[in-house]
Amino acid sequence: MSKMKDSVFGTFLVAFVVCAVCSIFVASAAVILRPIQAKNAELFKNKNILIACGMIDKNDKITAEKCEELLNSVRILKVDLSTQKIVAEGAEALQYDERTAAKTPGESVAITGSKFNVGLASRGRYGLLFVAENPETKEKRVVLPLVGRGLWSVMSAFIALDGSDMNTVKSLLFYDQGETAGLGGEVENPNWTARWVGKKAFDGNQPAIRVIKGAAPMDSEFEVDGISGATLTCNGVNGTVGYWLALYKPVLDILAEEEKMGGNE
Amino acid sequence: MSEYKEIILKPIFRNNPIALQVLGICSALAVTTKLETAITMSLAVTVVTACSSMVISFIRNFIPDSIRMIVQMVVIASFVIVTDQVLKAYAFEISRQLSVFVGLIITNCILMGRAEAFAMKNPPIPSFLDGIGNGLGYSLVLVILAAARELLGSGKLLGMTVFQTVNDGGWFQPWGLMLLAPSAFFLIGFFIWILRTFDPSQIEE
Repeated sequence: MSKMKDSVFGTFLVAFVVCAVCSIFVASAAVILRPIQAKNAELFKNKNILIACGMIDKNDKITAEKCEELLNSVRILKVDLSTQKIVAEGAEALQYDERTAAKTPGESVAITGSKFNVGLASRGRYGLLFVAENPETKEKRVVLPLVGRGLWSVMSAFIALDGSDMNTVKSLLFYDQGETAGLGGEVENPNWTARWVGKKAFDGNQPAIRVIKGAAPMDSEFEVDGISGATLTCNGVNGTVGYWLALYKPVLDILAEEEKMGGNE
Repeated sequence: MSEYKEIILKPIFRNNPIALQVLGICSALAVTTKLETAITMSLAVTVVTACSSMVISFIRNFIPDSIRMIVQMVVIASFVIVTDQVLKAYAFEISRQLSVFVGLIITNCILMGRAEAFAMKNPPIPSFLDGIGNGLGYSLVLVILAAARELLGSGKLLGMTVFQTVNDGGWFQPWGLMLLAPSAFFLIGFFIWILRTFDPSQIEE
């Protein structure tokens, strides 16, 4: 017995059997739990939309039903980003997954010629946009989804702009990223994203908001403090924020025009 | 029966994995700023230690000496990944707060330590109980640390306000140091000091 297990063949056999059994165990757990995890991820994403819209506080614990109910009061637009035409609204628009579309031929557009390096090869033809008004404070916000490459991973976020000037940043939330925990991963840190609030997104028609290395001057309108040890992730953040702001700018102008006309949706 | 009780109870005070064996310190610093994460982490470590010790003990007579540590790691890593997946499915918010630390249970020395020191030499049931006992010993320290740090650092316990902080219009000035890693070192030091005052046999020569 003991002779057998310590022979070369025995060693390989035990190693193989242990690996095979363990991989089946791990794989089946992953497969069985995936639907529940996907549901969690979706709820988490929707919750982040609501936080960005200023409808709930980030510490609020809300159920899936409540989340859906609140999302119904948000105007959700699916916009063709080349023609600025609204192609769908509401729950139908929310079904749209930009990341899947970006990988589907015919649904995607190659990313070229932007001065912002978003780090992705293609994007979906359409983009989502959320317009919300807080029922209590009457504060209006416009929320854009952001996605772009950091140092190691593709990061997803929502950025909210003030609905009255389409320029002042109201919130920035990274909800999915795989950057180094404690360094680049700090993009999720609410203490850091709070530094974006009140900055201006655009200077004229150009996206101007950016993270700089070190501390931003106190009175700076466009610059945000960098995260120490995360310069490359911050470069990714700059590319991502700049790229999507520039892309959405014409849509924001249309919305601002609508707002000025006193247009009801 | 009393022998089993002994296996479970011994690691809690007399042979505590953190206080006497000085294993698993890193995660004890990292996840103890809040009681909720500490309790989840404690449960995860206890379950993984118990299950992996039992499985390793089951196959202990088949594990070739030359690759025994790798085999132990494979078993431990599998349980950790499964635990991580379960947390992601059923305790999503907490698993986000624990972030990398659930995955890092793999590197928690308590698991390897118990596998190598106990499970390789003992039958499955005692190994399982030894895992539970050591998990509980770890949990005890984690819960004490987290309760102290959350209460003194933010005036809360399990997210509920106990001391009204100055910022919320109360009287309590939060002790910011408690939320930083060094405070966990000091608290572990105090814990070991108190433990050894009551049980001088733990004092090293």
